[in-house]
Amino acid sequence: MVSRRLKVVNPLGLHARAAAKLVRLANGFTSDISLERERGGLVADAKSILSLLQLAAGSGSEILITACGDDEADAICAIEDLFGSGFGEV
Amino acid sequence: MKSKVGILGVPLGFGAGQTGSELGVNAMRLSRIRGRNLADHIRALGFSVTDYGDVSIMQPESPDAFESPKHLVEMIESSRRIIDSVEAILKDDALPIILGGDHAIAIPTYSAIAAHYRRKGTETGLIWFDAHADINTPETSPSGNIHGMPLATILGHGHPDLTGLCGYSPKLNSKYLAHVGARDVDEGERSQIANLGIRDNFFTMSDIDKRGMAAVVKDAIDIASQAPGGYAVTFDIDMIDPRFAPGSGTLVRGGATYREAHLALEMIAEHGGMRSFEIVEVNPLLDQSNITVELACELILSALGKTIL
Repeated sequence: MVSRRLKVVNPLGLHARAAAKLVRLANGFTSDISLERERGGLVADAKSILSLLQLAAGSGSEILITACGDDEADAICAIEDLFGSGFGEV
Repeated sequence: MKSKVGILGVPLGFGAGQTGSELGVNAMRLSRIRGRNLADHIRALGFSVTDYGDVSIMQPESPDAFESPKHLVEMIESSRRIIDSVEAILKDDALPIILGGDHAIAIPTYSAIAAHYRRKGTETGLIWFDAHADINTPETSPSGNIHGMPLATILGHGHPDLTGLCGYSPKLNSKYLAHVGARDVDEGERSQIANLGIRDNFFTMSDIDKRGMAAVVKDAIDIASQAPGGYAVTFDIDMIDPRFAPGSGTLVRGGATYREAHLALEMIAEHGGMRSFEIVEVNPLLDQSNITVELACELILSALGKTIL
């Protein structure tokens, strides 16, 4: 299991189209990937747009990403790149 | 029936293959029939009417989509907004009158209604008028258009991000479903209906031919009204024959007549168990002299209890 804390940097936050990019990326990995906005708070499945939208993660939110599976390290790296690029919006 | 009516426009048309049903909302809202618009006609029946405006629909960035279901991201986001809007009407203790839009909107509108009554500890039924079964899944759909999938979705079969709206699935227990008017059913839908064991919940045009609309609608009401919380009604205008309702995107000959459609809704109004009414697939771009739009408005009035005398 690999975890990393990432920041949502694009102005619109984790909105529907950004969530769709994350889902597309996450579905390329076999690992289970989850997002948690606050410790003990709502946990979202990175492979579900609906679940990600329910996080309501606005710009500046800090998200704990956890991947668990054979390709967990690669998954975390790819997701870190996507967050770093502001989902391609900054 | 409730004394308050809440009109909601849902101008979502990307669930259909053809452009234009999103314009049905304002065509129905603005058309003047015998000098009065829809809201004034509803007021004349004795209801207080609030227009809740239109839901802000997230539009696809491109009309082309090759995945199934098409425009899933926009559908999920728009569904969340539609659910909030329908819930606002229900919280105001008003009867939702929902103007579509294509039939994909039934996914969020029925989800909102079912979830609202579920929170009150009760279940709702559904009467679905349509030429089509609308029970495709992303796997069986020949087109990938979401407006062919809403019934399957609310029964719990479809993309998990749509079946999972409001946090649970299925929204509808199939024993409380009545479908009226089918005459164009895809192969995959036939199998789906057989596999789910819901043939007896479908009253096809053939059944209407044999038994008459009154007998069929009585049975449909009997099924849906077994739900303790009452039932929603969703009416696809293409259930009516294209002679009377040409303004719709997927016309099929051999539908209900003008009077049969009114009869069905008059019987529902007399029964009194309806918890919401929705009309969809009215496409003014394909209409002739506004007759489909005006018929849609008249049907809303019949569903709300308008009688000839």
